[in-house]
Order: sequence, then structure tokens, then C-alpha cells
Amino acid sequence: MVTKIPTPGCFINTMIMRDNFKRHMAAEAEAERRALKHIVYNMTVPVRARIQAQLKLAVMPNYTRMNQTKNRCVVSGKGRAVLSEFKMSRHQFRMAAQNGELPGVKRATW
Amino acid sequence: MSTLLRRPSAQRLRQLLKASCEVFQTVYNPDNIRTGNKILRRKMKGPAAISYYPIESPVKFRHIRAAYPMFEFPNTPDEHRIAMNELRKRKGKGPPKKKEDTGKKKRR
Repeated sequence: MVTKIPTPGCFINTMIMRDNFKRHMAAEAEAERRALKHIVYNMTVPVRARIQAQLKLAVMPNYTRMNQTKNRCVVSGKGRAVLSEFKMSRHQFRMAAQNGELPGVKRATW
Repeated sequence: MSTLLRRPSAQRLRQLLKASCEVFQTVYNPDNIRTGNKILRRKMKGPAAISYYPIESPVKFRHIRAAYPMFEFPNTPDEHRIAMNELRKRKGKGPPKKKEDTGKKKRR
């Protein structure tokens, strides 16, 4: 059932591999989770079916939840102070920007 | 004249709403019952979540080197490793010499 999860082509870390796994599993289960949630929220469905859907949602493993994923630095694997626009932690972003590797990014002066 | 100005009954108004919903293809839900459609209406997050990390390139350095044997590609990390090994050897930090009778001792 579970297909092979592709390895990310960036900096690789245990935490990055874990996050990558969670992302793929969450994406795989997203349709099912959403369908179950729809049943839970639907007042026209009999109560028994709604509760069953609720239980099924609760039993599903944590890695199928989309909010378990975390944006990590693609260059260094850090999980904190990651600028989501550049997928980089603040330090890596600063170094890349100073080297002129990020088009359009320049030091603010006023 | 008075019959024309009279307000239509609630049932008639509902019928009108139903007809309007059929014409304009909207959901007929006069009692505002929660149908959970807002969950289905949301955009799927999966494709964006998967594409956060770049995909590993199927073409590796060794493939390029095998495809072009006439060229010499520099392998900087390996060169550095060999240089450091030589440096250590010169300092006398190389691998120790093996004893000749190790095999006999191990056998007991």
C-alpha cells in the first residue's frame, strides 16, 4: 500500500527525513481525512455514522495530520527561524543574501 | 387589489426559493443545516506539502563520470581526504603495523 517515499535532494538530516515522511503520509491520507471530517460535520448524516467517522479520525496515526509537518531549513536542516519564502533559516538566508545568491534581496537602508 | 398586495405564505416563499435554487444551481438549504461542505471546499494542501523539499536528482556525479570517461572530473572531498591521510602519515599517525602471530593467538 505504502509507496516508496522519495529522498529529498537537499541537505539530509534525521529530522528532515522524518518531516519528509510526515509530509508524504499526510498528503496520502488527506482525501480520506477530509471525507471523514465532512461526515463528522454533516448534520444530515445519522448520528451513529458521524460518531463512527469521528472515532476513525481519532484512531488514524498522527503522521497523517497535516499540522504535524514543519517547515525546515533546506540548507542546514534547522527547524527554528526558518523564512518560509526562502526555505532557509535566518543564518543561511543572511549568508546567501550577502553572497548575492538571492535575486532581489538586498540590505535595507533608510 | 388587496389580494395582490397580500404577502405570500411561508410555504410559497420556500417553493420560490427551491425553484430559484434549481434554476441557478445553488444548494437548497432553507434551515441552514450544517452540511460540512466548507471542508470539501478547502484547497488540498498535499501537493504543496510534498513539493517543499526538492526532489533528488536521478543523475549522480558517478553517472556523469561514467558517461564521459575521456574527461577528468575533480573530486575535491576525496582529494582533501587523501591529502589529510598523507599529512597524518608524515606525522607518524598512520595505521599501526600488524603483528605476525595474531592468527595463532586468536585461535586459543
